Amino acid sequence: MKVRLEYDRGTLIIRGQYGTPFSVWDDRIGAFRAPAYKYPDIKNYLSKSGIEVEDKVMSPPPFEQLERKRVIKLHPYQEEALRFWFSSGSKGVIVLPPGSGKTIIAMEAMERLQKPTLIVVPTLPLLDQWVNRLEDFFGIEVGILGGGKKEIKGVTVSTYDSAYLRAEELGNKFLLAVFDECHHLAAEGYSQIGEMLASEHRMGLTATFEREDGAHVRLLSLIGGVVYKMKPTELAGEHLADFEVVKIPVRLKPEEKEQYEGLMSEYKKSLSKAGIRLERLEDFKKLVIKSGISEDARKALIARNKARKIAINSASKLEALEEILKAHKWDKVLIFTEYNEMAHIIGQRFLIPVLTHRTSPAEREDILEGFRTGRYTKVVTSKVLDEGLDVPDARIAVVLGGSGSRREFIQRLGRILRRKEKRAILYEVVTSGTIEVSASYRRRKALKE
Amino acid sequence: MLPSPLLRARSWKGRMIILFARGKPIEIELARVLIDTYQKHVGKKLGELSSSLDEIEEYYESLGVDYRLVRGLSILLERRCKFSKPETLIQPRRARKTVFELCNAKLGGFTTSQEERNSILNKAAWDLGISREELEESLWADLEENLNLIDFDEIEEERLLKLYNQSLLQTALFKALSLILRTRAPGRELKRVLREIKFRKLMYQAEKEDGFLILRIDGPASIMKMTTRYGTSLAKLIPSIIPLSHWEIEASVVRRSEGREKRVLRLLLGSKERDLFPRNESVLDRYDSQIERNFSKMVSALDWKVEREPEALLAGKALFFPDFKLEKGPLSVYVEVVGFWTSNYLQKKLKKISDVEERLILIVDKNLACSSFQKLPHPVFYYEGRIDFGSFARFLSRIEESSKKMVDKEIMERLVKVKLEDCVDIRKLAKEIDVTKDQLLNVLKQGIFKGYVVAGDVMIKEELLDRVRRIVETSGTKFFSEISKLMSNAGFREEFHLPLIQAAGYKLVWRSLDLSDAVIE
Repeated sequence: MKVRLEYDRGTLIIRGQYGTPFSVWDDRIGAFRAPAYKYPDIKNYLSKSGIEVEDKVMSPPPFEQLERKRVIKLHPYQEEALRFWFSSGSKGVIVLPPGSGKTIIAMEAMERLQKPTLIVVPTLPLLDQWVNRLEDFFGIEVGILGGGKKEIKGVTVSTYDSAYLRAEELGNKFLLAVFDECHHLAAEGYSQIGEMLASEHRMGLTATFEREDGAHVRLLSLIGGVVYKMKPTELAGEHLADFEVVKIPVRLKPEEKEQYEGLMSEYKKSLSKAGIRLERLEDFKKLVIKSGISEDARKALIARNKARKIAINSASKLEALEEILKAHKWDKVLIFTEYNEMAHIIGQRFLIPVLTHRTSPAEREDILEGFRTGRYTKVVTSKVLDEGLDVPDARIAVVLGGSGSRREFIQRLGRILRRKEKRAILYEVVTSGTIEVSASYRRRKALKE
Repeated sequence: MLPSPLLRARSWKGRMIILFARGKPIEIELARVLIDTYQKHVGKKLGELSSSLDEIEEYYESLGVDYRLVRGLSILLERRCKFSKPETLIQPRRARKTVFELCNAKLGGFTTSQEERNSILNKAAWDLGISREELEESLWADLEENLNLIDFDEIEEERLLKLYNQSLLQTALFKALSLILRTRAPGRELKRVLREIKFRKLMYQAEKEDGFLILRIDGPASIMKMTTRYGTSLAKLIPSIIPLSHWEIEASVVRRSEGREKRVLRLLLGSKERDLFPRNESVLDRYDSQIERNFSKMVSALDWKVEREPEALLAGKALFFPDFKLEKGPLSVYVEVVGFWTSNYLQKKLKKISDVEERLILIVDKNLACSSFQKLPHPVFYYEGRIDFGSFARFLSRIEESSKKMVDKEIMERLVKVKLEDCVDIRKLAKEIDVTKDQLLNVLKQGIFKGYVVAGDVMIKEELLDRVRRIVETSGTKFFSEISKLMSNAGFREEFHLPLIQAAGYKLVWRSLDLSDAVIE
């Protein structure tokens, strides 16, 4: 009675007379096969059944002892989150607001576990940030996957994209997997990363566990359930700044209004021709899909996008922005826009540094560093700062048209929710009487939950 | 390959029908216009090119051309371009840093009027030692729209459309669950496909059906759940499949349409549509080694037909590509030359070889680990340095000897099937039933083929012999020339006269060099 477990490109091969739970017979190789993430369960099952196992699954890279080079004391809530995670079998998701120190929780867990670790992050700026933090904290050299780099080390940081592309190769190399902004892992493609990893220890970090498409249920099997949760309002005042949301409605310029209304009536006409009634968010998705097939649906979508662009890029908004800037001349202000184009218009008109996802890492570093030290006090950005990236010390944020997604809003809010003496303010500039308003309503709803 | 939203396909009765560019005049015109547009914008800014492309798209859409075709072609053309950042007096990044820092120091990080803006820009230009105009040129020079198109690799419009079709097919396969390839192509063509399958870390299962080879291709995790994970890798097989002399593919593709549930559609395509696609030269390998080249020469000299890289063989559910196929009449033998390999490779190869059911011989360098070769169900010929002609000839004839029974049986079966005349030229017959003369004679001499006797190179129906004897006995002459005349009268063809007489038990005695003097006894 002996079973041999092997790893094969994101799956387990089980050789022996028996199948195990989660495995199926694979005629191509004459053995049983199972998804890699079931490795701990299968190993557990075999040992409970008293079956001898020849385990050839894990093949980690060389690992250096992790020893902190800095003294950092955890906040009680960080300590508590970590305790809950360990007592849940070192699996599960920790939900904390932005700026509450999720990175330090992960590093603390790494030091206690002392196991080869993979950290998966959504963006290149975040990748850089994790790498810097880890190298600084542990004094080690970290492996990097993403942004043209591909080096695997005992501690490796990867983007979701790179991890997705190389999941087969990464699957049996790390005993601990940390998923930063782990709601991304629930996406259909990225969830394969979770499935192809054999890692026993898994940590998810996010500010917003729930996804509007309901896909977060996938995270239960890929990482584990929520082991700790704290909402932004619980932290405000104690560890983070109090904040206030100020909504500034603006009107379209007359010629913008004329264009806007023309487009919206074209939109509605094409919509009824295409036979679509928009009542819920799902209906809109239907429209997007249908636009690939139906001429009218495509016309409707084009008209709507043009109208939306007019509303979002309205000159009135620039005027409102100017007023806000004047009111906070000596404060640090972060300005968020929906489109790169708008960010560039603002940058060129007001002579404000612009951060987009196309900004080179060196310039990005310069702008963030300058913002920290006060060399720059105003920065305009499109979506690049949406997640997790550390921008300390901004008190004022201005949102000039964003999509209706709740997550984006909380993340943006997080940028200004850092500990400081004065009350933080988030200005939301919305063109009234346009489709932007409903997006704004959805955004605010996210706060109350 | 194109971005998924640019896929042009519709579903019909559970099938996915890809809307290929079939070379309609308007498609060729569009291709020409796009190529010209790219060509004309060499030396100009990307921003200008983009707005020209927008106009083209709008114009052709009004003519009923799918915008996805316009964009798809445009993407393929963009990949043939080289762009460069415009040269500026100072680096854009440095220019911006100077301006923004100045603006921050003087005005709190933003300007509110044209005057303020001017004063900042003038001061920054002064600090950098350039003119205000030069500063403004540098400031945003690295934005994408300001990139210069410096080179464009031209292409014929028809080839562009064919490349587009190949990309479109690949795009459709992004969401494929699996791919089935049915082919009659020989092994030397298929090898490249197999190499790609391996390189892309895919898996396959092979079987043979009615002379077709069927490969079911997917990935490790496909067995556990329907997954499109391997779609991109499957798509990348396409350029190696299209050049095959014959292919049919069937893919299961996941499609989400009009907000409905996901559906799995069947995508069917075959080499009869090959003209839609570019003619990629299929690269044939050169001889792997000196050993193989010599081997090929030697075996031809031994009266065997040699085919290099013949059809693939099944090794269990995998494919095995032998180096040669040797044929001598109904006897066919596959040959694998085992040269220098790593031991890991060798182990895998041996495992595979032991699953091959066809008659296979191995030619093995003695310096390799020989013990493991002895466990194989196939004969092994060892050599050291070079293959010795004599000993290999003996090896082959032993192979022939050991398969004699099979060969004889096969020849008997073929003999029964042909319509035989009373007298038959054995050379011609051997050719007709595709065996060697020696193999045929060998069967006939054993007397297992009843009713005929052999005389020299001729095979004669036994019943004729009594008639021949009667003619000889009643002729009253011994001269062959006279008996021959009588035989002609009786309807025997002249070329068979001598063999017939000999077969009937007479001897021809030459009295001079003249046949008319010859007598029979």
